[in-house]
Amino acid sequence: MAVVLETRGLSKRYGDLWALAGLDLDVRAGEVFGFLGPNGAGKTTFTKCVTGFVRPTGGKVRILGIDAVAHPARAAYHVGLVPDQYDFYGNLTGRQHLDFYGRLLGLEGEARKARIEEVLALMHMEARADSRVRTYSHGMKQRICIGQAILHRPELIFFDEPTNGLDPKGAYELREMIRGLARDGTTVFLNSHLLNEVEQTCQRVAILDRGRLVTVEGVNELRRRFADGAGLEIRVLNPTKKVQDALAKATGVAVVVDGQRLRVPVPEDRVPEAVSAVVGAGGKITAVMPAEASLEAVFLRLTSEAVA
Amino acid sequence: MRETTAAAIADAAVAGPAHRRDDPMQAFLRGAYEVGRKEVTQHLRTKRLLIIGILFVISLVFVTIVLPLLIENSTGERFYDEEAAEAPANQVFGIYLGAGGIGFLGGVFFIQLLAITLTADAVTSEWSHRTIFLLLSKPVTRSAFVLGKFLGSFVTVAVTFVSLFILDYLALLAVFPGAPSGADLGAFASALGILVLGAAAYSGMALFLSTVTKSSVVAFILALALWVLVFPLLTLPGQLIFMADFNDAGPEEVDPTDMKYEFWSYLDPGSSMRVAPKNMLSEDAFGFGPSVSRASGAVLALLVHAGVYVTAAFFVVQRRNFE
Repeated sequence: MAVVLETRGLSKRYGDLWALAGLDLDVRAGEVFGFLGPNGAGKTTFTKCVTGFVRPTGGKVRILGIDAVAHPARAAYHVGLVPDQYDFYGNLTGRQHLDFYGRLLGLEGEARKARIEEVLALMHMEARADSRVRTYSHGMKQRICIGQAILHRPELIFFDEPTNGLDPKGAYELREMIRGLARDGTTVFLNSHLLNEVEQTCQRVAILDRGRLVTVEGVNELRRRFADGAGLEIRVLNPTKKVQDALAKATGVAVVVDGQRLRVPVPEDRVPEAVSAVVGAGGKITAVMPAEASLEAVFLRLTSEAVA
Repeated sequence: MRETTAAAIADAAVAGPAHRRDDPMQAFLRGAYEVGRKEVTQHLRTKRLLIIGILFVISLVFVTIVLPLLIENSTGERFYDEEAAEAPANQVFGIYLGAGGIGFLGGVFFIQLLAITLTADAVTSEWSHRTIFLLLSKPVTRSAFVLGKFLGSFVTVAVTFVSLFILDYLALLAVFPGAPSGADLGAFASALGILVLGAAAYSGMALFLSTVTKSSVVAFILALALWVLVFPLLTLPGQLIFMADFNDAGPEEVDPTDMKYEFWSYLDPGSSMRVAPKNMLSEDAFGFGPSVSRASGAVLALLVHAGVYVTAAFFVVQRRNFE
């Protein structure tokens, strides 16, 4: 699979502190890539280095083969950015902003106007497009911000903490939009501290801690890899007390109940007796699988927060 | 947004690049032009331009039209007399244009004030308001960004002043038919040209200061300090040397246009701007007088000032981390 974003030995030093300590990272075309790390891990520094706002101390950044450190403006044609912290010119309208950014992107004449109308419609901002941005709510500003990021149909879009300040409905819609972008071939780089958000949206994640990459792996693989000791997960339509007791008796261990999921810390070779016990107690099994660790548990184990 | 909308957005986003990937020079020029255009648009919507512009118009109209009318009414004689050896209108314009410094609301003062006020937050406001994070995520080089910022402020100041001066000149012709003489239009234009170059120098200086700090207030205070304190002080050595030579050798032996005295005055762009009135007068009057060499020196000095400050701003922004 083609690599859209590539960093090699990317580093950034502030005095004696290495905010980024030689990061090697590949983000593949069409994937939703999550970037996780505790506060101060270097996530935002990384995003600002690859998008040209901060000059790295060393290393290389390539976006679709373009040296993004030497030529950030050339790389920008391929990149959309929804920053964590941004604002608009208060005395310009939403439409004027999109027009300004469209001009900077080289969109011309009628094509630019048509694209702006299209984006405004997609963002449900037509009615307020000619109001000054200073009158917008946070959610409306976020829509215009996403609009400017997709205006030129970039191959790679960075979302830096995109659901900050959004209500649950807005956050849900944004996640759906990110999935939709990826489904249709856009690569999405999602920088977030919300593990649930990353877990629901991303195929692969990188976990960063104190400027170093701790791991880069698929979300499912990561959860499985760290499921050691988690054993089996049996999904049962009717996880009654009788079913739970039968399972505990057959396996000789305590059962962890999570809704319709029954987890027992036993190896896979004990699946037959576990299943027999559940069925014998009248349990209706829908699935049996190796138990997976939550991304949160993985994150805590891999980062210094777990130590703390 | 409904779920279907999210999918539609995604569809629209990946339909293929709609932008034009032009050559670097085209991209640079487009970036500078668009940033400058946005800057002008924003300046036209700000109150500071309106307020300073109104004060300028009031002082300009008062000095060149109202005051002459009052004098005519009290003396009963024409103020602007085309038969006079030296066109009085030019003298009035000359005094007005040449007046600078805090405390006297002359043309030079307003141009300097507006150039500093509009430009001192050119970069700092983008950074402190975080608008820069969307702007520089677009294909705009930092050089184009700086150039656009400079041109946007400079063009706003220049167009404002030149157009108001011309309007005032036309109003003056209407109120006082026949004066000033058409032959002096060239001198008037060249004087305005020097003032416009001065605006470029002060805009460049304020732009540079707006790149070295994140605070608009600090940048503005630094610009004020340079304007009213540091620049005038830089001319002091020339004056001291002149006075020393004057005392030692006497007035007959001292040429005030000697470069060893004049050089120091070129370090203050305001001093070079005050040369402008000399071009308004064909004969010596009020201590002024035509001076091609002084005007040429002033033009060169102002160009160097503007060039040095804008270049310095380029270098600072190139190396700046926007965090």
